[in-house]
Amino acid sequence: MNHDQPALDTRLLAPVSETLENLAFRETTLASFHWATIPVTAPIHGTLTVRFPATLLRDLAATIWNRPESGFDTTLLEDITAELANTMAGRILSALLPDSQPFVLGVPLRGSGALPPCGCTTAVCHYETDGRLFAVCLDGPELIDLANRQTPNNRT
Amino acid sequence: MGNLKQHPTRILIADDSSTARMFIRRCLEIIGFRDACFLEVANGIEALVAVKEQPCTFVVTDLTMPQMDGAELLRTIRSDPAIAAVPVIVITSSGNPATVSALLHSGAVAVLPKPITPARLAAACQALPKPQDPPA
Repeated sequence: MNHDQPALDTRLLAPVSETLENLAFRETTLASFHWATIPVTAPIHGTLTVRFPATLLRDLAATIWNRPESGFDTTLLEDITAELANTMAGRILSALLPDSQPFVLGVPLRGSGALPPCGCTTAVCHYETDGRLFAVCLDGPELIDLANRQTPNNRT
Repeated sequence: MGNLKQHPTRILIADDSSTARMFIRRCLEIIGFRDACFLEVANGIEALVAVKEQPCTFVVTDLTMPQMDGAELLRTIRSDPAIAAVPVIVITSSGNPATVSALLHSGAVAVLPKPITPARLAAACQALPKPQDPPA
């Protein structure tokens, strides 16, 4: 089942915020994200989405472009997110599939704010860099099944 | 690479990401192409127009691009006698051995996986034909 993510974020904000305000005296606001989705079109179907908090992405952008954090508009931040997602997707698929298996990635979709609607088969992996979280989401039963398998390239 | 630096060097970078184009250009500058003339385009169609308009020393292209991808750009360049000798380096996030083999078979000088590094790009540039070499 798909859901309207922006509406859901807003609907849950008050109870989440009230909880933290009452117990920990902290204010809660809606988070600001940039995301990019890479379609996987062969040999399996699915999508891989990378989602960065805006503050983390500006920090990464400043390092990548070697310019101040203030020097990035939304278009460039989304472009950076798409390039990072594209590179991650390629390396993830290379790790999951046998060496002899070609795979095809599509042109990135990109955006800011809430994620586009995902299906019910979404796996969300959280990572952190410099103490700040970001997420890599796999969507689609074939892609999640592949990621769950122990293949020659992803055995740990 | 040494011979290339003695001639006016024009390098075409084709990638739909401005971040990727900046990164490729930075790597090329680091490995000795600081004085080259860089042309940047966002897809294969624009790349083809640019290559036909002005001779390029070599092309660095992404594989996945809108409108015309890097594989089609490579095949089109190789099939046009007027520009068939232009060396093409392909950069791809889909660079497993099967994909790399297919692109090399289509005439790519080198296929580099993302993320590229100056060292990988330098090694690929060593494989570029020298100006006095006969066309492939």
